[in-house]
Amino acid sequence: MDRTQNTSRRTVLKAGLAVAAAASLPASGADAQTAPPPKKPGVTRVSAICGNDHRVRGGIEPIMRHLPDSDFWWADDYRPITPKVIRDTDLLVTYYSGYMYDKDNTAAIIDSVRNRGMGWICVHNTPWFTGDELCEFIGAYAMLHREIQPVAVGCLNQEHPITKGIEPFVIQLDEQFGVYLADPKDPDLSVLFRTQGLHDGHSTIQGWCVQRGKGRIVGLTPGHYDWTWSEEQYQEIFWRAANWALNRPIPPFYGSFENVIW
Amino acid sequence: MDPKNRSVSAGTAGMALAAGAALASAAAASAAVKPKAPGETRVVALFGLTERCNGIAQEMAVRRVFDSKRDWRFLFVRGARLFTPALLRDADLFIVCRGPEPDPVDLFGEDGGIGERVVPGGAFWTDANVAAIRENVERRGMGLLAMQATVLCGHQPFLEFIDVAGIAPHNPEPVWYTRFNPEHPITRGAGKFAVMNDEQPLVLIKSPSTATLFESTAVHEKRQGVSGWALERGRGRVAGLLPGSTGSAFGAPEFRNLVWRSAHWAMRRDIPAYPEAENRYYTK
Repeated sequence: MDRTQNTSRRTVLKAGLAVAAAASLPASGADAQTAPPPKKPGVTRVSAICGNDHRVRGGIEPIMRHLPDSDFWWADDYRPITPKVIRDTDLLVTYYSGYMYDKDNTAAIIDSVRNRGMGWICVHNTPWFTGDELCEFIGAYAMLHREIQPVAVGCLNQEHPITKGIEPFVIQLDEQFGVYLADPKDPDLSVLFRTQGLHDGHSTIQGWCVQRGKGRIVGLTPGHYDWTWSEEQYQEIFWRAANWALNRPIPPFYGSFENVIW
Repeated sequence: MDPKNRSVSAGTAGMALAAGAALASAAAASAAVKPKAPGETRVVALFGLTERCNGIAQEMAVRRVFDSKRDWRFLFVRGARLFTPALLRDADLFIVCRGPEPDPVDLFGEDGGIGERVVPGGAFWTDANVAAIRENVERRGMGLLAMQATVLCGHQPFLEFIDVAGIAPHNPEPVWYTRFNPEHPITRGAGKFAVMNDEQPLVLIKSPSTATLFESTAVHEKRQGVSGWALERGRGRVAGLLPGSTGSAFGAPEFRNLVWRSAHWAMRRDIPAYPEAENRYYTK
């Protein structure tokens, strides 16, 4: 892969996406969301920094609400995000979130994962916004999606607890954000699954995980539309990913596959 | 136009007319087929050349599936009018992929392949042809592989014979083949797969004794139903496979494997591993 060329293209496209993300921010500081209160002892703080996107919130929040003793905080915009908020987080969930990756927050994320054992789920287009330092840290660089199309999820890693026993399935329509692994020989990284675009046949990695110090990171890049989040298999993968990233035993999935047709 | 080319075209036209005249009748076509050699596996196939079905593409795809079977002889009947029950007399397997309508064009008719007008072809789904299929399957043990548009043939006794009611496809779209029967020899070890663009005819299976092999989901409309089945009839076996209206389906090694396994099973043969077998959605 020619990393230089892709970085250049990514930079141009990211600029456009950043403008779009900025447009979704509240108009004035007075409207800005405030930082969450400090978490209470014994509570698992899940901080979802995913922008004001109802599709993603509608997908992620119901899954996270099943985590016992958890305190789920959704950041509508990025201004409340500070190193203090990150250091009070047990599981970080990100999507979009371009403005949060300044120098201090980036350092706080790396420190929290590596030394404190914070979990991090990088959803969908997260690798587009993190910057090269965090891309190396999460083990993957972004690959832009092509047309929005049906996407088949397959090659599920049967040796990893996040994907063991999950059968291939189809997402009716999605942006197929892929990734280039930063180091395919990284001994701490596991590929969880690959996907294939059903129109253009494009195949790429869309699920991976990595251990960094005490902490665990999971990348799950399906999830642009509601349909992705309505797939029970993907819900189960996300559920397992959250528990794995929190370094907990993975409880049985709360959902039902009785009506799954894929 | 280059006069030289015109001369070649005229010559070709003459040859084509002669060939057309030579194969003007089904009896002549049938008689032209060499007798079955000792040890030969004879497969007779009839696909549609219609406004919706590219029988030539399907023929080439099926031939490629069995490329390694040097002792299998494939006879493709390229016009319904040229089919006679005699062709099945010593066939080991009959593959039929044919919708209800007669051939819209008789490619081997009076125009000899260069047509100024449309000469309609013949119909395949006659009582005599269906009776011959049934007799060869039930009494002689010929295998029958019913594919794709066959389930829409409209010939009720034949549909009863293959134990299904056919449901017409909608527009071609990505189709996900799923819910494979892990117990049946045809689908044991088969993995789910997608076809980028396929028609999705479906069937309702009539009898509990008939095995469902697999289902499919049309990805855009989420239409779901049975796309593969298998049953025994007298001394013979019938397998039904509904993917394959487009070349995309035959591009999937998973589907080619199903065609390979179905053919062997229908002939009561051991099923060797398909040389290009691959479950792409399961490979790590």
